Amino acid sequence: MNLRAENITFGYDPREPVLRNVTLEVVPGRVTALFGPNGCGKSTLLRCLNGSLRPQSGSVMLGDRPVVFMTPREIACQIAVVPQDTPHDVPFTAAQMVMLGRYARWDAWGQESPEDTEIVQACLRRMNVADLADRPFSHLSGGERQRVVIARALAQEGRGLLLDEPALHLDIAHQLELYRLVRTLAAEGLAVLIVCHDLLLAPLFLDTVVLLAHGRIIATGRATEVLAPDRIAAAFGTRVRVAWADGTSVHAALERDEQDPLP
Amino acid sequence: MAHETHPLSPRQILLILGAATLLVAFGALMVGGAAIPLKEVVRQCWQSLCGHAADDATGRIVLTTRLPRIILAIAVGAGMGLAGLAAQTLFRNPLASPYVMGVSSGAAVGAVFGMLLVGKAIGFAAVPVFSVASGLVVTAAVFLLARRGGHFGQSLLLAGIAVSAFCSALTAAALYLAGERLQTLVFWLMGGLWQATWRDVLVMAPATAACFTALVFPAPAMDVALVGERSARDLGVNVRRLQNGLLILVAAAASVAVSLTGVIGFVGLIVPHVLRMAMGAGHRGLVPACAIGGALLLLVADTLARTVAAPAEVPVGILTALVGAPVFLWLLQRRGVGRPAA
Repeated sequence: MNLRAENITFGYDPREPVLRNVTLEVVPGRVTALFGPNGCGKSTLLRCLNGSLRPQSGSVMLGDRPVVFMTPREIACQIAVVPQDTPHDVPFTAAQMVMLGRYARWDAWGQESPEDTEIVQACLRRMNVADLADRPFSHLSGGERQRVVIARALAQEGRGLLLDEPALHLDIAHQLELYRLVRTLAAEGLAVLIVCHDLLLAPLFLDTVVLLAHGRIIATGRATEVLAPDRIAAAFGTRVRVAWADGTSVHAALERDEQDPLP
Repeated sequence: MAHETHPLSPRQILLILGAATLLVAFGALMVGGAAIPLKEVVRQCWQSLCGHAADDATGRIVLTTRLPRIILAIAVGAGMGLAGLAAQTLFRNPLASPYVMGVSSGAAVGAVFGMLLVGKAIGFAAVPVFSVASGLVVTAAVFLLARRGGHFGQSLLLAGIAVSAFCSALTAAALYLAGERLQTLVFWLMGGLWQATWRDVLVMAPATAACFTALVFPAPAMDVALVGERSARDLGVNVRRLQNGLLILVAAAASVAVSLTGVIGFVGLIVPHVLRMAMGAGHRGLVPACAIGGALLLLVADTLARTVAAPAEVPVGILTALVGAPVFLWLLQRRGVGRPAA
């Protein structure tokens, strides 16, 4: 089921749109990445995609249904979100936290079934945090918390997964693991959208890269095409040297300015 | 420390609380100005259940003085425990209570003005109506002010504090102008159940029962709400509806309670807090536990209030705050300010 934003314009203040005429499609089986400078509207776009924000114009369609007409519960059964940050002070254990991912599928009594418990366990194992299951969420490290939150998103068993800078608190090994997981999930048929800043590892795992700047999409395509020096310069206002070695590894480096102090 | 393992399961805690409440209730029927032995208490209750209540002195004490007061204490305590829990979840803040939302002071203002302006003309019975109405109006005002702000929980808290201060000033002004009725008003404001009648029970018990029923269903959503407004939305909670529902519930329960008993502090603050420590933050267990826990606490406090200085009566509001505040401070010391209960 495709998740498609069609020509959407959104502003927290309608007079100053954060997103202007953005069209974007998240397709099952593919990993789409959203690159762009800070404050360019990436997270806002993500929140429009799952119906948390309502665009002033344009539409967001999940399959053939407009997201604005769906209840939060219906949306949560289809699309899981990994937010940029989660409050630390949540009074639950890691396992209880992941169990919240099952909320949208409970009936009015909200009874947890044995099946829910199994799914929670499986998701914890998949994110390598099964041994933390009974630890308080507030006691975990930033990276552990992030993996628990991703496990929660997996427990939603949706068909779309939207991740907002999921690699932020992860070390390089866990970043790699995350990107591999995202690849696997796409191979299993999920539609994945990932907001990221990572020019080093991420490009190796992406199908489509969307470059967003100042609320507009300035390029869409394969990583090798979109993450080119001139495009990056246009979006971020900084010169970066990008070298692709036959699509298996990539080197991105800042070009030194004359003003930059020597190390 | 958050998350020590809880030695008792929620079910066990519920059973203990329930049993304790029943025991205290029977004890409370026995003690007071005239001590009545258990056998006599049971006989009186049984007879009235069978439809032929004895019209003797003991019968009147048990059935028209003590029993309605005990049931009212249970109903009001349960309502305040539930209102406190709902408020704390609504704000994601274990320090919240109907107080900080301005409900209590709003209801108090209505009651005081009701007593001053119309008490004489149309009878004291109208006072609770004024009180409930002004409690709801004040909450609605706070709500509308807060909706305009960005972060709902926080702006609600701020608006509540401001409106609460305004209402307290109005109450103080009314007291200043009260003249010879000052003492009645002050005594009422301190909170107490000494005027309890079966009519009060008939108002409060259904209100509490409705509150309880209304909180049982969103209990799982209340769990999810603890992860924050945005994430709760992403996980499928209709956050706005939940917030509105909890707000209405807190306003209704608290203003009905205040209208009948005056402002009795700290029950709604402390009960959810302590129970969350004892059984964890899951609302499926907390909702019934807070109802029973609040009932037990107010019942104990009220029984003490009418016996410690007998035949004089200590306003129970003084008692709950006098004991509640130090206990609360001790909890804060132990847990660190601002950390969520777990």
